Amino acid sequence: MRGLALMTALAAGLVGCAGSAPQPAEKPVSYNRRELAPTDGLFTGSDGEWTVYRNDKKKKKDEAEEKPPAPEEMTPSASEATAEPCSPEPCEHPTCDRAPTCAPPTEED
Amino acid sequence: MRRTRAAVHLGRTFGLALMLIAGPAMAEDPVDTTAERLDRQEREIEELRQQVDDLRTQVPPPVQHPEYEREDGQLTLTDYPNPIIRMDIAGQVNPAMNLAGDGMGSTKLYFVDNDVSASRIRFAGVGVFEQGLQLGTTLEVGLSPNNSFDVSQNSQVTADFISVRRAEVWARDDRFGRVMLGLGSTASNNAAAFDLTLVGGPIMMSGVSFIAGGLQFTNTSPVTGATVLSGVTVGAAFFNFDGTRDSRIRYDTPMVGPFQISASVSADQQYSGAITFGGDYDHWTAKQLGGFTMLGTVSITDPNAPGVGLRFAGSWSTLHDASGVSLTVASGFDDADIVATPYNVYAKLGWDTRLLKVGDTGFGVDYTWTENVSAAGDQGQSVGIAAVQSVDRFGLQTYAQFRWYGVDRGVGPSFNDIFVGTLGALVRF
Repeated sequence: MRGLALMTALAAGLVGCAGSAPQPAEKPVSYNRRELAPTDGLFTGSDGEWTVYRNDKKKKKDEAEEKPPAPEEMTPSASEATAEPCSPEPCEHPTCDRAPTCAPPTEED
Repeated sequence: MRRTRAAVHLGRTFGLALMLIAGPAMAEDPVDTTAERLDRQEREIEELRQQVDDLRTQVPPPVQHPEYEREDGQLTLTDYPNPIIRMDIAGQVNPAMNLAGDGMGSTKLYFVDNDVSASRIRFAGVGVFEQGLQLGTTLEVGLSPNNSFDVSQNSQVTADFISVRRAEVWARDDRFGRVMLGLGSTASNNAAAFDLTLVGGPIMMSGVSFIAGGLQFTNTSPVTGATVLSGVTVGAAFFNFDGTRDSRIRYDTPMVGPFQISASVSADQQYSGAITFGGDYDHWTAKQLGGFTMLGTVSITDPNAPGVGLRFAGSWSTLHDASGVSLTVASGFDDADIVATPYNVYAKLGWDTRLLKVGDTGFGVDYTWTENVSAAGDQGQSVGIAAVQSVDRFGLQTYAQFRWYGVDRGVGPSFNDIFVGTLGALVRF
């Protein structure tokens, strides 16, 4: 009973310190919190893990965003700005039919 | 005619004079040119020799990771598109302090690594193919000094608990399911621990004994009348009948709505199966129905253990999204062959909210009833109250818990109660 009172007092104190009404907690990516869930890390930041190696689209996209495009490489849309040169082989991405570059696949792909 | 003869004479005279003047120089030109050429070639040879020597002393450049592409980067060498490959390292530490009173002497402070979610490091590699197949390997090692399930009154500094938690290879295709081979979770692992609460991560879950599992109950010696250690630990008296991690082969069906069925065959002829609701390949994404989020599972295991036929476990958690209030229940029992059926019932009331900008705050109150676990006729009860504060930016969860353990013995002298206050911090690095 004393514990319950202490907890209530603690909660009231936290609310008082916050100076605002409690907000709903954020829905996590995974409720399996006892495992290494994909959450922020102290040293790894928002990634939550150190990526030793990756060749996926995110890295290429990030690199493309970090590198300022040369004037002759600039294209009208943001998606095409991060696009890769078109392959001589038929491209699976429909944007290839309309532009000389292949738009990077989205997550839905 | 005379003028022609004079012109010829004059030409011969001029030619002779020119030869006398320039003759020696013209005679030396081929030699000098040849000498200069030889000198230049000799210098070039010396330079080339120096370059060769330099190249010999240099370390060859590392071989680049094969990208399965031609040098022009356009066409793949293989007949399938490049897999997306990544390798990651992640880990956490979860140290805690237990201030425990056991009815014998003074209250003691124990420094432990919290076994609810012990310190660990994980190496994971995943290859994703465009056809939808994912291939992965996971190596996860628990590195837990002074593990809270080992630390006891008479052993406050224990050997480092190092255990391989996962060493497995897996293949997953959402159309066909997932196969896992190696050491890892059996189908029934965590079946008694499905939980939506924030406190359920680092400190308060159905395994109420994990934070102080090594502590022994004390009783009064019938011989001396003194209070002594009984030899029965909290971990032996409270058990949630959860599954284990073993060397196994496991199969998970594709998700059928929120449902998924899993089955595994483990070392030592152990078998287990489970059906989960919102389990989603162990990610526990849960299922939202109306204003509620729900998650649950039931499992059955043949542990191939003496005196145990089958082991059943299950858990269910419901969260009211708007308020953050949740109810979590769990239970498990052994279909014992000889002794009375050991079983456990657990319930927790939780409240997850955001009081501070730095992260979510969670509270929980739980109660456990267990019977015939430490011995036939024993009844155990535990009540806990806990709070967790997340600091998202630093991957930190600080927590506090106060818990009471009590066991009424069926036979023999009764145990003194144990009270444990815990302060700890789980840091995901």
